[in-house]
Amino acid sequence: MAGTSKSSALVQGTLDMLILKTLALEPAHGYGIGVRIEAISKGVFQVNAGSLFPAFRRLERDGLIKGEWRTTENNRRGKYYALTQLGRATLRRQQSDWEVQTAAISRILRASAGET
Amino acid sequence: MRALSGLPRLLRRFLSFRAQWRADRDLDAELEQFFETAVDHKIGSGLSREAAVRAARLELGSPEAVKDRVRDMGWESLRDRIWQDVRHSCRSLRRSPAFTLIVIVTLALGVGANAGLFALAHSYLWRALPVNHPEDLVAFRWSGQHTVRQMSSEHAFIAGRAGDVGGAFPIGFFESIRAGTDLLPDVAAVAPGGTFNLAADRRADSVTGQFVSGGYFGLLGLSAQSGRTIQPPDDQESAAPVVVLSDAYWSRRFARDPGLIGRALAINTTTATVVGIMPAEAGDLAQRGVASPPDIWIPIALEPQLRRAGSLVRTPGAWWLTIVGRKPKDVALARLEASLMPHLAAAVESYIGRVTPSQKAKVRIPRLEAVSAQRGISDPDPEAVFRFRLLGAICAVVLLIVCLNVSNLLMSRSVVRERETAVRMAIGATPGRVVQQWLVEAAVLGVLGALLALVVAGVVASTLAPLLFGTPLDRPAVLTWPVLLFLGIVTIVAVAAFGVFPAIHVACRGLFSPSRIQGGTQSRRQRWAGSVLLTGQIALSLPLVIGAGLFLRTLANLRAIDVGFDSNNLILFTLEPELNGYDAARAAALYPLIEQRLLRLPGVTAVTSSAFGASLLDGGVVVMFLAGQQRASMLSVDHNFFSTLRIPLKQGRTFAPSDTRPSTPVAVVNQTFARTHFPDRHPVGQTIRMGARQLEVIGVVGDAKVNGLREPSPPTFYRSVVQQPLPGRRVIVRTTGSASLVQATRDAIREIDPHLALQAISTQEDRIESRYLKSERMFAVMSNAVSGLAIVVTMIGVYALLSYTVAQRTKEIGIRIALGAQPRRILRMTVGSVLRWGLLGIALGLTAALALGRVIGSVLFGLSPHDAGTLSGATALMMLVMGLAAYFPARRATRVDPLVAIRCD
Repeated sequence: MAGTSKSSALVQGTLDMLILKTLALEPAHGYGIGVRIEAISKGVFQVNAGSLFPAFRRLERDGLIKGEWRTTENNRRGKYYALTQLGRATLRRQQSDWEVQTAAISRILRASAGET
Repeated sequence: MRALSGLPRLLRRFLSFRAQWRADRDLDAELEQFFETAVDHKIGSGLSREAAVRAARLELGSPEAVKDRVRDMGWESLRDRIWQDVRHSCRSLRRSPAFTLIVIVTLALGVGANAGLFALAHSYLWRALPVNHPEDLVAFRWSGQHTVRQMSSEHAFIAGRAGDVGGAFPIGFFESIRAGTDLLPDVAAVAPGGTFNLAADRRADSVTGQFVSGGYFGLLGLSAQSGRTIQPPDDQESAAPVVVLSDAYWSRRFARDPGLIGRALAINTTTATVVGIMPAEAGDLAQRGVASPPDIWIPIALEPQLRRAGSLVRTPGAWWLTIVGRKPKDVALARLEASLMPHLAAAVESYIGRVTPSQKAKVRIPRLEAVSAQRGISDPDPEAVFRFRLLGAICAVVLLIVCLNVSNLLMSRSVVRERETAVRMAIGATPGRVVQQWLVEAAVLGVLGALLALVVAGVVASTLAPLLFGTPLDRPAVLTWPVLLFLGIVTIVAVAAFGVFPAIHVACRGLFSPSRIQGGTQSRRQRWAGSVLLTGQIALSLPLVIGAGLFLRTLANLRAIDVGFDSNNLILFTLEPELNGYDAARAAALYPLIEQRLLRLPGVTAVTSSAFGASLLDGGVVVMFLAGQQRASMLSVDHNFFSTLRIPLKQGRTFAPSDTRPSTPVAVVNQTFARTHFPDRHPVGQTIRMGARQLEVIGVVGDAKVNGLREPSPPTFYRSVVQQPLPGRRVIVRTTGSASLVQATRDAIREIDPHLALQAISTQEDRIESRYLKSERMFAVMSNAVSGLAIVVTMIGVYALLSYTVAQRTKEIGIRIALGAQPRRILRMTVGSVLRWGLLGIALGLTAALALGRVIGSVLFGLSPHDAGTLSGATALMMLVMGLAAYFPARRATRVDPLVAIRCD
């Protein structure tokens, strides 16, 4: 489901978490979120609109983010997304789950012969 | 009207379109903004405007593709979708009101009956006593062989039966543990007081009372609703006599007069001051929920004044007090028993010197047991528990039948809605979505059924409470969390049970194929599943119908039984003038006075009496005589007893008014007695040895029932009540049949002495109905209601299955008729298959009934649980019902018009 890019495919199911994390820093509009993910990941992840928009809809429907029309820095009207209380809690949970899992996965990947 | 009612729906649809349209517009705007921001961003990083627009387009891809993907997400959350399904279910259920009504009502009856019984069990069997910390309460029992018991009365004897148990103790034991034991600092005693004569405002009442020690109410944490309870200082012999009233009696007798506290009431021959009224929830600790609370509570210290010569406080050998205590949490029951056992031994030793040496040789100190009194002191009546279990089993079977029936209906319905489902699938509904909709529909039915079941539970509980538990303490509580939880769980299990068959069926059929839009013939598997459900339903219903027949016939047999006397047109009541201070001579003179006065009433033809303690049907005093080898029942009766009750004289004579001299005691025996004890001799003139006494047999009368309706007459002998005066008598009035005589009798006694209380006045017929036929009537009523339900459900099952079979196969039937099939063949094809399964159900049901018969054998009377007439009658009834239910769908099948049938799709 996640968008592919020149560098890396996003691991299944992580796009939602990345969006939530981005919004946890500060509210942003659709394009801004995509750009910020790309920038923070130093270009490893590039997310296209076909992936972002369904994700926004899904998160908004589940009550994790909330959209609001505001004026952008370029004096245009844009839809800004912000985390809800529920979204914040979900992010915290997902983040700790993720850390546990990646730590375990990298331990497995680093395992050498003789280790049990 | 129709247009108006459609208006809100139109409005809703419009609003929903509008919401969708707005959401679409929103998405367009957002995409546009995304695009523009991307262009701005790219210009900012140094691209020309044209290059930036191209790059942004490339990045965005086709806006329509993005929009499609967003729309695929679905606009509704899970909650929205379930809500949509709920509305859809309500709409579709409203479209088939008969189906909906049948499902909800049968479900409510099945679940409600079970929840009602659960509420009863919860209210009366399982719930802890409504007192402070009931879990700490302990009561005591004794057990053992050859133990010493009450020895004050003439006929009592040492209990010799193995495993004798009791819950009452001598007062010495209570005083000893109250005086000092560390393990049970808080202890109280309570004892049934029997009936008292309570007079106020020149009106006498017979009330039930309970003797309690001063610590009783404090121990339980019960306080009075007004005034005070009985307290420890009331235990002093010198304390002023006091009495505490129950809420029910205060309402009934004194109309909740608040000025009653402080007033003096005459109780028997004593005067006691009312010091408090207990709240309604203060009941009888000993038999929680099974008996009414006493009308009054009296301090034990007052007992000698009230009972005078018969005082048990002054009889150290009497075992009469129930003892309750509050145990510290860390003390085990076994430790408590061990530490209290010496107190019991000491209490028995202290009075043992008073019994005769021969009795003393047999004395054993019984073993003391401490038991938790959390749910009351005494175990519930085992007979009530048995009846309760039987009802529980019946209700569980009913629920099972209901589930099968609902399953069957739902499955038939899923077939009918096959096309709707197929259409939904064809236009893109996922299988999960379709199944979810079915589950939601089942849940909607479940919720509606559960709501109605609450009402049913309330009705069942309040109807059965008095039939199962005598006069219960309070109304059974239905709206409590445990009952609601139970009802919820039963409903969920039932919904799951009836939902599972249609689901399996659908899964097996591969309903998700769009080719199903066509509809057509019915598959073999689906018919098979429906038939299995129907078979189960009939197999479960038939035993219920058989049970109903057996209970009805039992009731009829008991009503028709020959009790050995003419039980019609009799009025009975009990008098205890001794409670009012009548001495033996005055009491003896009272009865002829009553007889003369009552005989003056028009409609009264004869008046007689028998000693209070023993009477026909209600049980005689069982005595042992002939050196303790034989048992017989004994009744003390007035001289005209046999003529008034119309008990035939077989040999010799009955008592004459002249049989008054105590020096030559005489007895009349019944035929069973004569046959048992004088098999080879002429009974008249023989003697009966009773301890040191000898009774001369002067006559033989016909057998009359002594111990209830069911037991055959035991060997019985009658003594003259004049020769053996005992306190209290039951007066028996023979009338010509006027029911109004009950009130006239009451008035006549009040004229003689307004302070005399009539106890338990009723006609003999009413007494038989209320005392001896109550549980039989309950079973008859209950099992008939239940089997009525089973019959209706069976009819619905047969009808539904056959109707749907015919409806589904209309096209096939049409073709067959067009090809020349005879109606007989069509019938065999449709009705025959369903009825064959029905017959299998009947065979299974008969087998089950035969196997289970012995469970209810003990409740039946005058017929075996395998009674051929009842079995064949019930089977015939079931077949008739099945035939009736099959008639209309069968007629429809034979009248299928081939032209219409083939064209209809």
